[in-house]
Amino acid sequence: MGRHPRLPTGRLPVVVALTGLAALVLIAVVGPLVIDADPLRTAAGPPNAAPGTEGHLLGTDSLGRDLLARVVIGGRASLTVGLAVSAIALVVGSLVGLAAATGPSWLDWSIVRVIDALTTVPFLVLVLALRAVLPPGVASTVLVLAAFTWLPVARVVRAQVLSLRGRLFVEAAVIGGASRSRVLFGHLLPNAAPPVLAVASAVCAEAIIAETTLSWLGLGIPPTTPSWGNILVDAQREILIGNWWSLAAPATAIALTIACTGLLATQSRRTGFA
Amino acid sequence: MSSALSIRDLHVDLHLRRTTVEAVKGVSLDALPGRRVALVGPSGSGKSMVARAVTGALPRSARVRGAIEVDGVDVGAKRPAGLVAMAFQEAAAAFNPTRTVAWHLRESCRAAGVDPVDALPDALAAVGLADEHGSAYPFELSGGQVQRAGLALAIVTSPRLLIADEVTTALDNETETEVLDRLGALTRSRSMTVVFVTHDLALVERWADEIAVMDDGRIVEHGERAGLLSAPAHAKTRALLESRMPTVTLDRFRPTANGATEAGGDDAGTTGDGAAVGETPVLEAQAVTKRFDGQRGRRVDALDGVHLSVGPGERIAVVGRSGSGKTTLLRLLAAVERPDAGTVCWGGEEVADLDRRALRSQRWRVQMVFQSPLAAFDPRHSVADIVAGPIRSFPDRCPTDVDDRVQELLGAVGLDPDLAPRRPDQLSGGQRQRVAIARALSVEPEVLLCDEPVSSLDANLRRSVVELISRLCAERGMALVFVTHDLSPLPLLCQRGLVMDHGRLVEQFQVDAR
Amino acid sequence: MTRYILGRIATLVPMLLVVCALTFALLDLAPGDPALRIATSLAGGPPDLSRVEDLRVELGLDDPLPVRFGRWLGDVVQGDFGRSAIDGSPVTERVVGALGPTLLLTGSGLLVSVLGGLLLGTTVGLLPDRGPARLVRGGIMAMTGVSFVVPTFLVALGGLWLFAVILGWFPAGGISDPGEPRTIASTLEHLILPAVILGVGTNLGVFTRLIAAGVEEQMDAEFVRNARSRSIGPRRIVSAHVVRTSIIPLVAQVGSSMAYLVGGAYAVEVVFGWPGLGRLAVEAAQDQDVTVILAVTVISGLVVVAGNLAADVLLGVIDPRVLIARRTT
Repeated sequence: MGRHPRLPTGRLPVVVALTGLAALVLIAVVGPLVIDADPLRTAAGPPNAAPGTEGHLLGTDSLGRDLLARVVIGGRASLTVGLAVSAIALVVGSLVGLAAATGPSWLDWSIVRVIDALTTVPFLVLVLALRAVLPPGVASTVLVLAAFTWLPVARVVRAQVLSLRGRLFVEAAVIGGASRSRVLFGHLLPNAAPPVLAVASAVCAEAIIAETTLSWLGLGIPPTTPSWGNILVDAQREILIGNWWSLAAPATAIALTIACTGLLATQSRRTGFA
Repeated sequence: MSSALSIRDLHVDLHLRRTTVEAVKGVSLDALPGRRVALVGPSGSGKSMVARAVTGALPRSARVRGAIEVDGVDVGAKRPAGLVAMAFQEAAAAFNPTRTVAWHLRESCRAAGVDPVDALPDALAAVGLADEHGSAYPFELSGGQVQRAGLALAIVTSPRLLIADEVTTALDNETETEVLDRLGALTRSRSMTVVFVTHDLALVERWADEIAVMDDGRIVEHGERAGLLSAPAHAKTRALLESRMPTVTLDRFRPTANGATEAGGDDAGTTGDGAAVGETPVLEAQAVTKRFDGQRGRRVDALDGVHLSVGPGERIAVVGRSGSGKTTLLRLLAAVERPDAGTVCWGGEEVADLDRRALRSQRWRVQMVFQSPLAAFDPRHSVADIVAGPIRSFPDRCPTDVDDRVQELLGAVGLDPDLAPRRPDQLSGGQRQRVAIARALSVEPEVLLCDEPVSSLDANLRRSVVELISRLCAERGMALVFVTHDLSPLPLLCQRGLVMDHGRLVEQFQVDAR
Repeated sequence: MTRYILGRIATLVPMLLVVCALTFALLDLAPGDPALRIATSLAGGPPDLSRVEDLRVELGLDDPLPVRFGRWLGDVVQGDFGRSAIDGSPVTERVVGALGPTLLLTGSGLLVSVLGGLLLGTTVGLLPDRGPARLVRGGIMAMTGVSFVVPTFLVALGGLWLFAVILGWFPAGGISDPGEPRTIASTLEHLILPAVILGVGTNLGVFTRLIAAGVEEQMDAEFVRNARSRSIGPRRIVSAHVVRTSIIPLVAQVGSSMAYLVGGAYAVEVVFGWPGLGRLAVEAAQDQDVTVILAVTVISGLVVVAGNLAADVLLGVIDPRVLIARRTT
């Protein structure tokens, strides 16, 4: 009789979103092994070749680099950033939020103060500050972004658990002899899950967008490792000479990812019991 | 004389996301000026939708057909201000939360062209509110005060017709009587016609001139009160009347010898005739005191030195108004709250002496049924999960297979075992409360605590649930503490009762065997 | 009300202190020796080691972290943000000079998003969800959804390219034309495009949706039904009941999205060459100038906290429940 918890599966939009994300990850992992073009090699073809030019399905950029190869391998860095950041945020945020909601009151007080304080400073400024300490690269970008994206997760987990803990069904479970861990993991966490997962999905999209912004500022992933962000930033200059495709390719990839995570976020919020 | 209200062939359809619900299916009703017409019927019979259609307060999803005239004016198309007014059960929701009560009254006056200088204080005085209540925000008033403010808002423009939907349901008996007296005087002095919707037949008997009985979107019977009550013609009317529980007041009960027992005094009075001499009480509270400092907007529901002793198989009612401390007492007895002073004992063992683990191992002894069953169920669990919850914590208390036990329990509370995989929100109110009872029974507790278990149910369901609880206690030799503000279930349930007021047990009484 | 405001300030000040402490501790980890860098910059080549030592003592760099934090905090309270870790120049002037343009841009952007959100949100909320009106609703929603998926800097780049470069309607950046004196008119001319882009790129979508959802919900709320039954006219219902109650969550949201707004403003500043804190911060980050980053962090926190406070006060004015609820806690 363990049919619960009712996670947002078995619904069409969720299936679509998860399939989409899985496909993107698969392309990023397998694609570079299949595609016979070096994403870093300049003058692999004529510069600014339009999509469909022989050997360059999506065209080339102003340095003559193959865009398909670049976008496909760029997915590795960008999706790693998005997924890793949201995973870290989910785990750290859940633990901190749970600790705040169920721990002693001084702990709750301090955690809330720290979260409040960190959310007072614009994300960009905090990232810049951290950047002064860490060298650029994929791993450090993940770290920099994860350092601040756990905040909303922790806040939602704490609020959810606190509001659920006062509910009658939890009291009823206690009267029915449920243990502390059963109350926590059998009743509180599953009921808190939908909005938490929604926030975690949103964090994934946010991280991918933030990576773009960092790359644009020259503080993200260095150009030697293509990412959707730094491809997009390169393309920003090329649009002025009419090369729209080098902008369209990474932008489409980002938009697809954000659409999938956005769909997940909306759906898991909807499956809440409200 | 022409009708004050004339409804002709009224249909109300609710266009919901996927389906269309026919809430009202052709209702015609006339009310003469100055009459008080009661609209009664089971929940879902469409009586509230009729009331809302007349006042124009339907939800956006509703489509109306048919004619409604008030004093000969068709109110379907354009609604002349101040002709019809409504007062509903959830009076607090009728006010814009960011505005004061008086602001609403003035707004109504302006729309109806009434001078608020006199009308406003008159209306407040008529419902027994002071001027400072007018300048308060709705959320600053108590439940009874908001209800009165809602009535003041309805009558401030002296409407010809007042529609009242369960306006007194949320009030305690004293307040209800006062509000009704004032409303009666008011409607008489202004010769107002009143159509009131209610499920409370006692109120109907006391207050209505005429009764219209609704069922499934239609009026099945309409007539003078006396005639309809004494000789109901329609089967639905008879069913409704039969579901009534006997009207009782405290006079029916015989106070025990020493009458009022002062809290904090000697406990002989309250414990004396409960358990037989020498037998250990299964549940006992000694001089328990609990205070809340009223923080976080919480209602102060304190207890002050209460003694209570429940012998094996003994059934006790605790009667009191809302806010008298009944629920707090139950929470202390169930050991989900600790008393500030005094002790609670389960089977002679002091709860405070048990560590967390030991307390949990003893929890099977005392189980509880709550006022609102839905809130007491994990929204993600099925009926089977809910009933099996306590069994999983106490496998020793269940000799058979868990699934079999769940089926057996559902049968015992009169539920179809096929309901096991359903979610609680797919059940009716009565079914939910039966599931809650099945959960409480699952570990064969020594004491069952019930917190107003039937007050959220329709009148016709109340009796059957009360009878079920009574039968189960008798069959299983289970003791019962039944908290209620309504005296009518008592004769079916218990041998003695205690009256609570302001956190003290002020009186105890014997219930006559019927 | 005064007690409520004081109460809010009492919770916001410790928050700022925590920000200061955390950022200070974090930036302490930054690689590089400030004394060495300043000495290099002063000497214009490899400096004397004794000079570096002197500087180190002069700047108090050898003291333990809490001591340095205490000294720094004391200076900040007196309005001194210290000296640049790159060239030793005073930071305060640069930060204060950048604060004005940032406040101007942030305030205007907020105004754009609030007014736009109110207008569009009310329109969407009042239109029926069927027939041709549905298209209008969908159109507005899709348009405002831009800010959810497109990074603010991209919106800014696109806007700059389209309206300044292609259409030439607005100047392409800066706060005034080079070589010309700053006048109110020319500042406004330079402000319009970045302010609109900031408003659209950050909060317009959220605010529109918030108001739309609020209006839609309130139109079917029990107190609006009641008002209808009291024959209150439809225009008054919208203005006195529906919009007023729908603004409450908007104001609350303004408070909680201040940090996001200021962050967006910084991105827009960089694109438009707007001489504000954001541009200063990015330059500092590229130079690894920790003193400036620290100062910008603190000032940003201060701006956000001030915005929060203003929103809280406004909330107390329009929603009496807030004052009561806070009073009892």
